[in-house]
Amino acid sequence: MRTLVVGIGNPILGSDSIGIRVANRIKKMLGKANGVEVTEFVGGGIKLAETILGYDRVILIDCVNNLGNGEDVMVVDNYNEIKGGDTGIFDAHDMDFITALEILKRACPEKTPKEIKIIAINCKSSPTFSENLPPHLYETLNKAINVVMEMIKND
Amino acid sequence: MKVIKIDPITRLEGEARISILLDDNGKVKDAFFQVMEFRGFERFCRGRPVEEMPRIVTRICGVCPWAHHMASGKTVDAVFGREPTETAKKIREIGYCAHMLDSHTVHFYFLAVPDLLVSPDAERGQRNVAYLGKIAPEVVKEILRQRRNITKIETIIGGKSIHPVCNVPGGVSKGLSEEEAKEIEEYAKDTLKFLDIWLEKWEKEILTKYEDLIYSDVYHQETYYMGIVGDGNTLNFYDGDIRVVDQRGKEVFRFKPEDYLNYISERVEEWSYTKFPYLKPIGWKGLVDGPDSGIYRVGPLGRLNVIDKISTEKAQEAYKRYIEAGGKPTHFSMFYHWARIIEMIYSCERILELITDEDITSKDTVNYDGDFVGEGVGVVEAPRGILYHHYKTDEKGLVEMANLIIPTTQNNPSISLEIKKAAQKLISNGEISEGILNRIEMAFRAYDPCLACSTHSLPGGLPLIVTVYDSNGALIKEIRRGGK
Repeated sequence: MRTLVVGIGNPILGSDSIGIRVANRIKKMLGKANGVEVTEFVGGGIKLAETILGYDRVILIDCVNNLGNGEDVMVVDNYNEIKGGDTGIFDAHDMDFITALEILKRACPEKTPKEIKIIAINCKSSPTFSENLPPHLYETLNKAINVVMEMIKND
Repeated sequence: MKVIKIDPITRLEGEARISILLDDNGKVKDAFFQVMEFRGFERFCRGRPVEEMPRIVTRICGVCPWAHHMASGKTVDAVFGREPTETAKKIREIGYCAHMLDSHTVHFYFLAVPDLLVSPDAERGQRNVAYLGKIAPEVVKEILRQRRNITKIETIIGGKSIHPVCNVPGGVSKGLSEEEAKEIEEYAKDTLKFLDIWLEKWEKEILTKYEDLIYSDVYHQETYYMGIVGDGNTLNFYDGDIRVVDQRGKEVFRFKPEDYLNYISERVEEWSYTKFPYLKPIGWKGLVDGPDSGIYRVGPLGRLNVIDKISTEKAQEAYKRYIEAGGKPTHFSMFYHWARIIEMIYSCERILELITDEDITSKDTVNYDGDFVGEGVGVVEAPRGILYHHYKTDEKGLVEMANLIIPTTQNNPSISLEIKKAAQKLISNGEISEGILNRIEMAFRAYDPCLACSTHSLPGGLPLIVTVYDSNGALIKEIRRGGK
């Protein structure tokens, strides 16, 4: 099974970088021997959908401003649940990620991942230009890493 | 008075709002294109080693990172006083043409085509590429295959398809192998064949079917046009002089990139966070077109209006038919779409010219000689129009000043004017159907505005809102989607 972990965010936008930071830490923790692929991504829409083609399982990690349930980290098993929701994967330039994925399912069903999970991280703040993660998010960063590592431990 | 705000921004990068104000008779009194803005990117750059800039600026936007990387790379060349090697220039241009293809395919096939192949009056759910995938899955499959070709070229040249890292002061960090050159050639040939089909579809099918819409005075502005021209006033995305033509196509200004501040001023309006650039020597007369107004347009329409010819065969033939159909200059905003197809054909042909050049696999990819200058201006034609980067550094090469003038910002006055004109012509008696709203959306969608760039905000970071108000200022309609 081919698994891809995608950290989504912007490295120069403070809290928005947390998805990328989680992915980068996981990449180092896994080392080269592990079969899980880890990458980072800025944006969404069709380009994100194109990125995940050909994998069996995909884990997307992104931040949100506020999770409705107040949790720091939430695992979304069914991405349709967050359609129209509040994460950066809804790229406005071309189309939202969910729509893009539906297109790919029709055009290339054999390459569309069977399983997609979204790790939504509650940033509780608006992003500003900075290369540093706000201090209040370091604990959340570690929580998110543990959640993802638990998901891929048997790969 | 009624105020109508539309959500045409649902398929655009960044956040914006269109507000349309109706009077007591249901006629459009005024219309505004409003954009929220993050400020501070230029300040964020201060104190950084200038050679880091080409990699930092790609993070401004997930839509046109190559354009920022290229403009920044050229600016850093100038700061270091290094002229890139000929091989480096060719490699950069190949990557850049691939980016033009990447961006134009997203806009043309995912935004414009669904409007025109389905119908501008169709329901929102049917007016998108998802619906196209349902009724013609093989078409969408081929579009996706071609996009994979294009991103592979970007990856070979840039190291990454989305955020390239290839530009270094005086050249590129990596040359091309014979195998890579061959691979790029095959991709470009394949994509060129695909584009031939779509050019024919546009000229023989779409243009005929939507002649009234494309030539409608709803989508028509008589403005100035600005763009880069190569030798002999040819189309050139990477380098050249900057040419401005008037409403009759006559050259009124021609200048070098470093003189841009003598020709461009920026105005601030209290109702928008985005600036309103205009031609300094002409002046600002408000949101009106005509020879007395300094409003100018950039992007595919502007580029094909400032050039005299295209250096590649198929694109030049297509350009001739384009001029015959629209005149020169062409003032019809819907010609932006047609211009994109021609530019995609040019991009493929130009890649094929460059990739088969005998020097393309040379190892001479960086010029290390030059005298440090400490200031530079770099300009390229981004997919949406001319992009200016300007940096000043201290004696250690740390950035003291960074100024960026973004294509969508330059088109902002025209976009605002276009929306107002479209709303005034299409809405009467306060009746607003889905088809009318979409036709107003189409007024600015032609420009493919990248609001993440124009506001210096970042992709996916802002909510998307459309609202409508009545004559008493009461909200009568609001649509809100996406965003973070």
